[in-house]
Amino acid sequence: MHLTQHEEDLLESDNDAVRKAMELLVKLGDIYGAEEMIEIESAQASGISYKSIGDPGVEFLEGFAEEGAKASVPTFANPAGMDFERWEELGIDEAFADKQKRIRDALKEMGIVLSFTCTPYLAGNLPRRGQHVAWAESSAVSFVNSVVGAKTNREGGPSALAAAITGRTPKYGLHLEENRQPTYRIDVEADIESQADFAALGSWTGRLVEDGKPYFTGIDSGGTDDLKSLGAAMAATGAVALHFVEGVTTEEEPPENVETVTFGEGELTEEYAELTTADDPELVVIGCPHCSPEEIQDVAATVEGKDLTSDLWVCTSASVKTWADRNGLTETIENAGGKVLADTCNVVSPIEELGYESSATDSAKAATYLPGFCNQDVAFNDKETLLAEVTE
Amino acid sequence: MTDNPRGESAAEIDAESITEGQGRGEVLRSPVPISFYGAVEPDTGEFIEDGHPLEGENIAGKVLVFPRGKGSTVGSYVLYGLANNGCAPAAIVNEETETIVATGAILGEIPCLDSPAIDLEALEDGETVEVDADAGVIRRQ
Repeated sequence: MHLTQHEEDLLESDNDAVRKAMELLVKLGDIYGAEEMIEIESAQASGISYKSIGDPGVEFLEGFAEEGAKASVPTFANPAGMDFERWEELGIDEAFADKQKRIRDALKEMGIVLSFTCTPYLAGNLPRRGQHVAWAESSAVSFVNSVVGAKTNREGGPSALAAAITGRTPKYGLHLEENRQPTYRIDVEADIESQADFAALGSWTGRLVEDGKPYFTGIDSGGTDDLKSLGAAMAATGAVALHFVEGVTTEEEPPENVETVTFGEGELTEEYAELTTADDPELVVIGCPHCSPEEIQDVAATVEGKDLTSDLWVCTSASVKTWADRNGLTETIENAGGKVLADTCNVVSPIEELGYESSATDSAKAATYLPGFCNQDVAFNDKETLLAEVTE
Repeated sequence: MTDNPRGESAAEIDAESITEGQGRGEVLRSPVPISFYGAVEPDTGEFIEDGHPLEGENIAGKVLVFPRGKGSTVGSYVLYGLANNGCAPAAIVNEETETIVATGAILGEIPCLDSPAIDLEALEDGETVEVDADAGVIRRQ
């Protein structure tokens, strides 16, 4: 791989963390056939929850911070395993909280923004079209590639951190324009109306195309929240990092010479059933990926003045929660018996340790991960239906 | 030693360098892939995965030979933790080093090679070898 003088210098750095970070990127670049590095505008680090990375992860992050690791570009952190303000109230074990705080402190030492969110693009880290970034959270990767038009591969925890430290990433995969073309065409004949419909379309498509790049026709409109749900689902059941929605995210004509499949009403109905294994959920969770202000408004409007008969978590970033607090949305939701939580979500927090065995969600990503990561039976449906079932 | 086409008894076996450095030790070979997270204790090097061919062995100081890594990406952090705790393998030899093991070997500064010019089965448990990841060779002692 061709390296600039500066990059050669980083490989010889006296700072152990910088040297190892550069070695890691060069080696990954060799493995994936990169010919050079490309400078990045921002990074986003995954593997932040103690539940996901365990003691080896705590020791790595602390050790790397001690070796001198510092982010050289704006770098945001993925969700943690708990709300840092409310973990005791949620019943999180003190030993777990201590480890999660050590992770937080190591990230702070490295100069990483303690955003603890999977939707950094809603909370202060929005790249612009064409910029190269190195992001790790799979749903955010999909969003910035597909909706924003920035360019990133699906990074892992260490490779995103190495990119954050050195300010560059090997130029391969989705950093190259020739790899950003559709490889499947999905003709959507079903009516895609709710955000959950977008999610179900996504989980069906991800399973079909795996790491392909689908182009959707037949979707008339799609807001930020809808596209967030679509991309998150495809990145969970598949490894989709880039997709296209005709007339919504792209002006390019539909591809002709790729495998084409149809998504009809039958597929949509079947996908809801595929994602559902429970009928009496103990916990309803909205906010996978983390809620936008509009989604919290919707939840507040639905539960205002009512009593919830099951637990409700509304998960978001600390930034968006501040707005929800100021506008009285948090109070409305909590008066009904729900909780608005920052920094975490139901997948990366230890909900199985909190006594929950069944969850309801409008996220196909959460519905995909909850059985394996959290031993949950799952009910999947749109927000309004789920909330109507648990309010009186 | 003679140098035959399979290289089975050659004193020097060519391989591809994944990391830098040199390590010497007894071969500990797994015929199946390894997922380090949950399989190896980072503070002792003990292999604890139920039913794995290496269960009950200790990988510290050994030349660990296995086809490839698998499983959780946290495996990279386990290799780093082993190195920090002085319990890392002396070196790693793979058929193909995928990103989890490559990442851990780089972060933990563990000499690591892949694609050796012989089948991994030719490296026998207990034989002493030197892995020279700078030169890209395995030297049989």
